[in-house]
Amino acid sequence: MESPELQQRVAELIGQHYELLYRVSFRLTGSTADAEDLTQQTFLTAHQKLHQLRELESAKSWLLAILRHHFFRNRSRAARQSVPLDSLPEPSDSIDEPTVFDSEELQLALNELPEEFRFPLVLYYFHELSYQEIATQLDIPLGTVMSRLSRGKQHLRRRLIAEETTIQALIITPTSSLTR
Amino acid sequence: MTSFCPESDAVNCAVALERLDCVWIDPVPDEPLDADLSAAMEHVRQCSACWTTFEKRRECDARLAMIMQTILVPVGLREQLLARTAEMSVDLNINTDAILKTGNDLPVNGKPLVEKLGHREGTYEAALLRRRAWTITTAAAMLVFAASGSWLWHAMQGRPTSVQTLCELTPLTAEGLPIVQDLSQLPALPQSWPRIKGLKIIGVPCWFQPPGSKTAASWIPFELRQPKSKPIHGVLLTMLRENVLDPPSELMVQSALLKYAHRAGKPLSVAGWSEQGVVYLCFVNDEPAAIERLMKLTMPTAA
Ligand SMILES: [Zn+2]
Repeated sequence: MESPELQQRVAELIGQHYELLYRVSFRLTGSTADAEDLTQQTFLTAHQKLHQLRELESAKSWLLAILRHHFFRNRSRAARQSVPLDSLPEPSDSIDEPTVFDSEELQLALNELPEEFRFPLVLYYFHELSYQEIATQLDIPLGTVMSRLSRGKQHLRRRLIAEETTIQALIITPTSSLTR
Repeated sequence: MTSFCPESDAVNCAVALERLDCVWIDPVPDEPLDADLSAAMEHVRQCSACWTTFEKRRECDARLAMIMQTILVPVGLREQLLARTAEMSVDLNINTDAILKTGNDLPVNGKPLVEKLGHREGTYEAALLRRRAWTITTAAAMLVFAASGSWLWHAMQGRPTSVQTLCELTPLTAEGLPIVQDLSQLPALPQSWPRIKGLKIIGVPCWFQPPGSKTAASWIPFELRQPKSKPIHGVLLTMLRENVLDPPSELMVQSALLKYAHRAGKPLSVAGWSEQGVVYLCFVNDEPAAIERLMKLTMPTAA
């Protein structure tokens, strides 16, 4: 593909998908700078490998696969701060009460999850891939995806509910500092 | 739905709920359910204990999804990506082989990615990543949309500002405005806004302090994109009601329109209303019809 044509197609991909990719990246990495880097890495690789994209309709899942690749590679180089897999709760049948939580609280809870749990969970909540597609992308059995989603969701529910008191307290004390 | 948990079911409560955790069912499944999921759904429908949990989880999921997806995209990101990839085009022309001989294929149509792409240390890519020069990277990228308004406010007390002053002096670009560093200090958005399809915060929230006032307002750029309609770009200004001299009434479409004028040769429409102790002023660089459309969506019953 000639360079102007290539650049034109990349520009179209960027225009159509950069916001989604940035948002997913942000939730995966938990930081603006890392999300920008991940988004940029994804489009640079897409640019480089564009000849492999045969159908424009599959561009989104193709880009998400590139993003996933870079995410796991970047994370494997970085020090892991997430909790070990086996410390995550087993799914329980307890009743989860709706609670008040905000974007920051959600991100903190996400950051605690191992990447293998965080990735399917983020894509699930973005409604971008079905659990079957996630399984294909991660090349893991369906049952594993289901279990990771369930345990990841359970973790979010518990974490966000556990912090309810703190958040409520902040709401009614508007002059206090949010610094925690 | 019955009020007992059928012991003889092919799936038990825990299994049913775990299975249903992996599909969106709101209110119907977003994909066909396979046999296992259908059995799980059937169980949950017939088991009151599961049904209660399931409904609460579904509600929790909806809120998680909304908050999860609500992230500000940095201003200029698109342009930056275009510039980076354009630079790469130039590099590709110079040294195509070095880049294309990375060997491995990326997935197409969801096939797994071969794990070993060329490392980029010392490449254009690493250099580009280090050269990140975003103007607004310091701003956090999240806007707190917590439905109940978990927000704090700068306790900057001062002389109340008139709506007229705000209408005339509120800038329409972020130039020179201090960025909101701690987004938790922003007020809640209008209650209906998180539910309006196509409405997004498209830049970084700033503080705007009208001259002669010690009270800062939050200045939030937004965009409304809907099918078959011209996109609407504007700014939402929010202030505590007590800091506004003549706060507008609760939201009514007819009374919301405050002003139609021209600024710098362009039409400017302003709507204003109050919600739960906060005054919202909405500035749109367009004819009144545009802001009327937005106001109709903003009406509590419309969203
Ligand atoms: Zn049950």
